[in-house]
Amino acid sequence: MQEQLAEIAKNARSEINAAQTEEDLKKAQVRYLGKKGEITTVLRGMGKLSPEERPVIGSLANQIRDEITTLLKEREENLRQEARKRQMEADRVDVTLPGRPVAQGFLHPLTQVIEEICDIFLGMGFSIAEGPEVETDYYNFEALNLPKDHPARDMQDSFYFQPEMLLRTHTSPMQVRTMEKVAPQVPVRIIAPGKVYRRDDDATHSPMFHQIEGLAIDYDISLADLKGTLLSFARQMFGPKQQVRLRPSFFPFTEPSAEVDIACVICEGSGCNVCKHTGWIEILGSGMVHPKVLAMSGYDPEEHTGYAFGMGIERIAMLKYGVNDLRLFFQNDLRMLRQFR
Amino acid sequence: MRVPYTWLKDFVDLELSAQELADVLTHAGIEVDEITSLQLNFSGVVVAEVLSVEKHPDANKLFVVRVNDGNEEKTVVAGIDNFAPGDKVPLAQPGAVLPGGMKIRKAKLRGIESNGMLCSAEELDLPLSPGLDGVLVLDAEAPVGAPLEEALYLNDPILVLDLTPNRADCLGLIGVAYEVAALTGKKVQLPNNNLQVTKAQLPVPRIKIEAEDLCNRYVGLVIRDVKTELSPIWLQVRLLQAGIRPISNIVDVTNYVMWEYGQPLHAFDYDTLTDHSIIVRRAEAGEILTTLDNTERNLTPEMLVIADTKRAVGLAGVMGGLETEVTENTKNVFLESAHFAAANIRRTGRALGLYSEAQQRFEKGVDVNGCAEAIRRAARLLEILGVGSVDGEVIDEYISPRFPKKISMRPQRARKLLGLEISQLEMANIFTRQGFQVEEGTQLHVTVPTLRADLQEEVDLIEEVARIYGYDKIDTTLPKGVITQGSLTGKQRALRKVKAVLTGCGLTEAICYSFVSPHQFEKLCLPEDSPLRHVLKISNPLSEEQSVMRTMLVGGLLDVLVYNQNRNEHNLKLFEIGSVFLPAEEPLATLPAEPTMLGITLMGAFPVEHWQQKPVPTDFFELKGIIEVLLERLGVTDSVFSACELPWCQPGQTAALSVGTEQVGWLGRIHPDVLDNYDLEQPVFAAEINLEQLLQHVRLTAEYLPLPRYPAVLRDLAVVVPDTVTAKEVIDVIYEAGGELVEDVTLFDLYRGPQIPENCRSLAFAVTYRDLNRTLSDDVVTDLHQQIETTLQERLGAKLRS
Repeated sequence: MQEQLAEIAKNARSEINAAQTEEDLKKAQVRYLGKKGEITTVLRGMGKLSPEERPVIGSLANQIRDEITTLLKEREENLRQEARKRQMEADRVDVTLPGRPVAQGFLHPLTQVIEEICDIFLGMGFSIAEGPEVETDYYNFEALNLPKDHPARDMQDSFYFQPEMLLRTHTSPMQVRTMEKVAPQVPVRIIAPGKVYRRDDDATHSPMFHQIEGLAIDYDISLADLKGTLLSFARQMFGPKQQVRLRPSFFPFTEPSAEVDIACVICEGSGCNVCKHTGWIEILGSGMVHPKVLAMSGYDPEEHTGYAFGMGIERIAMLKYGVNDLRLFFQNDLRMLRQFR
Repeated sequence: MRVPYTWLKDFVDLELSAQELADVLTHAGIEVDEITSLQLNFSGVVVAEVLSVEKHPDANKLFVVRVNDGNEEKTVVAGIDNFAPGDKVPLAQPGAVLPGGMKIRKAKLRGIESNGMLCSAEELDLPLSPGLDGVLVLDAEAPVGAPLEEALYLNDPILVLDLTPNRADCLGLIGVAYEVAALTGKKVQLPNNNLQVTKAQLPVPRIKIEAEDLCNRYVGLVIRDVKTELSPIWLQVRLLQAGIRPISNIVDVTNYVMWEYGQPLHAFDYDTLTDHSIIVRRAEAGEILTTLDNTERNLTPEMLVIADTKRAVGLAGVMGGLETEVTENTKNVFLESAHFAAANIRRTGRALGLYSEAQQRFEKGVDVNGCAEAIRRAARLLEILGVGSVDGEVIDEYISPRFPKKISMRPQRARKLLGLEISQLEMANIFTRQGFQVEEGTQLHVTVPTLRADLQEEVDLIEEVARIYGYDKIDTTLPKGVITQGSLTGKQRALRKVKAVLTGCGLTEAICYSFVSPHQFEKLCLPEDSPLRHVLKISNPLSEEQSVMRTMLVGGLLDVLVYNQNRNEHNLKLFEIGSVFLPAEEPLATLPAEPTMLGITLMGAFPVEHWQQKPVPTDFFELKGIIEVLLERLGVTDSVFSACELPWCQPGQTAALSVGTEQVGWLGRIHPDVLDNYDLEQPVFAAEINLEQLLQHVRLTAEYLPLPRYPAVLRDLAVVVPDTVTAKEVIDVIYEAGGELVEDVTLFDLYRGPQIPENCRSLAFAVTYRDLNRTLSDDVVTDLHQQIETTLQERLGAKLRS
């Protein structure tokens, strides 16, 4: 009987090793371990054995049954591994083939710049104001200390609908509208982005373009505060080492007035064609809100002071992205738009 | 304003180079645009003195000239002899290069060696007079041997100022000199213009200002026995540097003085003025004046003229008349130095399309107190140049004299507004250096000359302090006081979300002009009575293409599609967010409504070409899917799409979008006729939504619903319905008949074919049932499903498919 068991074990080992499929293994399992399997049969015949032999053969049979069980498991695991390997081999791809593109849309570069600027000022406690693009003469000019026949009206030739109604030539009317709404309350901190319109059309002028207006009114706002605010803005927008330079200028609605330069973003101040070799580029106009403008909009200039500034978005975008022709922004050429990720 | 460097030096000491001066001025707000000089097209030309002139022994038309070129005596052969021994002339020496590239060499002319060439102004390409008629005879002071460009200051730097409109005082060199003096601590030196009092030999002019509101001052002076000839070369060169063409001595002097004093002058031929009279009045209706440029001008009563007793003789401040012009026959001259109202000059200039230097100055504001000094300067120059003699005295009609203004400034207010610690003494010094009188007390009382009309009130003086002290010395601080919270409004947040969703859906943002062509409406096939044709018209557009304000966005987006199609970009998904302009009835009493709109256009096939998948042509349902995603992401729940017709859309593929009871937009396939009008080659699908309305229904903050604790049961349902029954009707019935237990209904198949009757279609739905409080039993679902089927049959005539 011992020999019979040894023979079974030998056969089982070779059959299991030779198995190539799960089915082969099932068969082997049934043949050796099943209810009518060979081991079972041997165990059934144990009754004929002597009491001395019985435990010996029983233990041997159990040992062989355990061995076969283990072998079956191992072989099954091997087969699974091999099958997985084959599958993976079959799944091999050329990883250099292009991936499936996911549809992407892009915000217009001007929108991206507007949102970036807005976010910088939101972080400084400013809120965003809005106003109409078609304006009255009062809000566009008179309330900004630009009475009729003021020579500064020449600086911004306007599109008119009728004598008292025009397309706003700057975002400054939104200053006035904001002040009228909240005066005499302070503090006021707003920025106001939007489209503006002037009768100019060439490589450096578009009849429609964008500006952002800024306005702060409080008890003790000073020119130094304006300078500090703009320095903070310039550093967030153009880099932490940025410098600002204020130059005296003239706007009817601010006094003192200043043009604001930043270190040239192209050459970082060493001088290039963009900055006309001065190392500086102008980015905005600004100043302390003129007492007449404050008074017209309901503030007492003796009690409150404020600063205002206005910058051209296209100019900022051109500097930031190196776009050299203003008109590109309004052609909506997809080959251009999709570059602004 | 062009500021010749050496000319400016007449009025103020300059230790700075032109570039340094430009930097100083620019930092003080007098922006120097560029530093330039007259263009020179020659080299190697020097000043030579003529020693002798003789006829060429062997040639009739040639002359042998001995000259001293500073180093040595030389012989030159010339073709003309309009000069005499002692005259200074330009000598192009051997090696010189003349305009056009001609090189000068030694040459033998009929046996006599010529060591160079004597040049005319024309040959040197200098716009000086005389031009061609002979060798340019220089002023007697020209230093012999000096290069011509140095002797004539031809390469003198010229600072070109880009003045802000408030600084009209710098439209004269003396005004610039005051500015330079204040910035550099130097003193201004003014010319001595004292005239000798003489008795009038000619009739005294009778000056009368009738239009007192338009002419506050009129100063006149007679110069007798004038000789009209060319100005000396130095004066001509200075005018060229200023950008003014030299004409003849009298006119040149008026221009010269204008450049120095900023005060425009005019010279009349005195003997042509009827009754030797000057009347400043408004033009009469129908009056005609032939101006200096030989153009007949039709005058209107709004225009101010200078007249004599008979007729208009000049357009005040704008241009003189031809009949009273100074000519070579003029014997006596009447000089005018007047002050005219800026706004009137401006309107007259605009009406006639004129823009002279004089006019520009009057428009920007001339110092009324400078009239008399300027006329004395002109008279003095005419005397010095030997043009004529002053006859009698300066006549001055001054209606309402203006006096220097005294403005008080509180030093503490200045410090506070500027955020600058600066002493009172330092502020006082800044004003003193500008030539203002200062009285010190607790405040500074500053007397500002009328030349500085930009200084009217305290804050103007505060700016002067900052400007002269230097903006660069001002600190950088941040506003103090109550902290403010920066935040977006609900609408602003919603708009950002709209943009994020749309770009996430693969749409790219376009920005189009707000003004469009009025022909856009024909291209969009809008009927004549369409309310969208009711536009705001720009009264002074740049072109017809940009002459009316848009009432819809889709027209501009179609233009963008064409633009890209023509550049071989055929697959586009675009959106724009912007205002349209909807005016009320004309005449406009109120501003137009400016609702913010969203426009979308799709064209081509998507996704992009790829080795694994082929692009599929876009269609109505891709567009609708985008809008549905947008609505869902915005939390808009009660939206309805319903079939409609629009003139620019293809019938049968057009829908109206409503939210609640309000229609907020449309979507559809663009009509083939419209595509033809735009030359678009592929189908286009477009939508336009009024965001003003839509955003009222937005719920940006999501509301969490607990996850279901019991399983759902899924059952399919396939029905055949006539085409007249819409999908929405079927879905509505399913929800209604199924009641609360129907969680979701998804259409997963639409089929037409052999087994389906004509004009009918099969719709297959997956219906999800769920009870939130218990596990649904099969029986309940089966009953409900049957109930739905029955209701569909009864209500919509649907037939079941198994």
